[in-house]
Amino acid sequence: MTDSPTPRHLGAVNWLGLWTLYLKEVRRFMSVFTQTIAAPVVTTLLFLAVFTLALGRAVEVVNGVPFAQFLAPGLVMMAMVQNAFANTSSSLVIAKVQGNIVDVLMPPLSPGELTVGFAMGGTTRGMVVGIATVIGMSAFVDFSVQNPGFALFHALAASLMLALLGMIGGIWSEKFDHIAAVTNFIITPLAFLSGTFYSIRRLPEVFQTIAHLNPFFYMIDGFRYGFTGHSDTDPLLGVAVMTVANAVLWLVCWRMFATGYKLKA
Amino acid sequence: MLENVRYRLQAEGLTPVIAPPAPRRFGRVNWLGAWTVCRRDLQRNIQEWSTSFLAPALQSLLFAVVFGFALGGADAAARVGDLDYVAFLAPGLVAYALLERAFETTAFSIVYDKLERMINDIIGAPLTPGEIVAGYALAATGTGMLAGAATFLALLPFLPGPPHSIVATLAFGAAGALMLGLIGLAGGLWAYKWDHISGIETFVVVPIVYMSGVFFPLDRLPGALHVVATYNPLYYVIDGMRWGLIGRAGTDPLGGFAVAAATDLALWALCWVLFHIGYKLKP
Repeated sequence: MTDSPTPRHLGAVNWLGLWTLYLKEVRRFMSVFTQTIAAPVVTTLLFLAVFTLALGRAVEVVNGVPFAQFLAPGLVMMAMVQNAFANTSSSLVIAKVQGNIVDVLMPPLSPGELTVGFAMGGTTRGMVVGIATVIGMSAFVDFSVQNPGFALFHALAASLMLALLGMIGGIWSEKFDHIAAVTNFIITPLAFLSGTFYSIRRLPEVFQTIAHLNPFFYMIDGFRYGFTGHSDTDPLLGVAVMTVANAVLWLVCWRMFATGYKLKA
Repeated sequence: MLENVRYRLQAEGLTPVIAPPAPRRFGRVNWLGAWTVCRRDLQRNIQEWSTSFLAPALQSLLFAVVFGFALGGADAAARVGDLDYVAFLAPGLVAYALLERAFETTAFSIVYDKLERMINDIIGAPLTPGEIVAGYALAATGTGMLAGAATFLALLPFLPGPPHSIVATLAFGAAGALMLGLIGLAGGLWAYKWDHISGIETFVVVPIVYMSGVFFPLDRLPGALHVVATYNPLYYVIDGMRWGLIGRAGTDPLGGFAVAAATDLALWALCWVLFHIGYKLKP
């Protein structure tokens, strides 16, 4: 009689599977760190240089904060959200196009575990990029942190939100063109037009109203409040908006994995 | 049908004779071959027009809007000479979109061809190094200029008026797109994975273009950097396009065009040599 392996018993949560998925997601970006970490740092520094050289003379202070100090948290946030989004979306689209998505769908991982694994991978990429860009920029800009709690909350909440959006985009996309279009025509404009580079108080009334409907605005505003202590809106409102947005997106992702939307035949 | 005919012929003891096709003849230049290499990349970009042309146009539009908002009413202080800042910026953004798209066209095409081994179909075809370079480089020039045209249309509201000189705009645009197309070609030949080519783009090409007068006049750079930047041929291209589009220039357009043309010639020669010796292509 041969010893057949006994079926593995999992508790309520498949911790090992979840941890494996998370490690896969993290190693995927760490192995190409020049593209995933060094590149955003260089791009962010370039933006800082370009904006201060182009506008530094004309715009010395924004809401009582020196221009570079105002700009820097916005740039950090932009790098974080773009990378958190890129991590989950590219992971899912590549897996779908190459067909190895089955290796993620077949193991005994529940929809909730899949959502957590991918989302944490994207969040980690966002946070690592955020820390790297702060270190890179601290050579040129004074990063004094006024409210560390707000800075940390918004860094995490924004990375998580974009990681979840990236999952939704990745699951929806059938080819690279689709996800490139989502990045170019939705994510980049939202990131650019949410007060990364300017205070929305300076905008015409109509644009201010529009900006308040954009969740990206709250994360940048709240994150900046963490550093500079100045915000365009009530910081607690930002915390509420981000919490609700994340909860909703989380449910959407969970539902997508549970129903197998564009994943299972 | 054809099979039936052959069996019937064989049954009757006859063997069909199929004449081999006559070798194709062409003159000194294989025009059809060079055009085929060029057309392939052009078609690829036109097919993916939203990524190739719409995305750079939108990106430039975003830059123009964001810089305008960031000024927040401090327009007077931001003027470049007597020019509104955004009017100064718009031609730079047209040049930027054109240059970046031209680089990506050859760079990604050649790396893709190498990784997928399709490059053998080009090396094996009766094409001289000059024809191959022309095929790739002209596709990049065309694609870059189309991206520039799309960006120009998107930025029309920010430009002070119709182009000052269409001829100069097109000449500098073509010279710049060719320059970046050739740089992309050389870079693509050197790279042997995606990491390398995107590294060249992120760490070399984009920083150099950003610091060549797209966003601000060069005299805002600190001392030593300013001197270095004036030796950069891309500065003359961008400045020349700005002269063509709005009639303002920091340099003499004719001299600038001479610099751009000489750089193109040198890069063309480099690419020709790389294909001639089969650099990283032939064992």
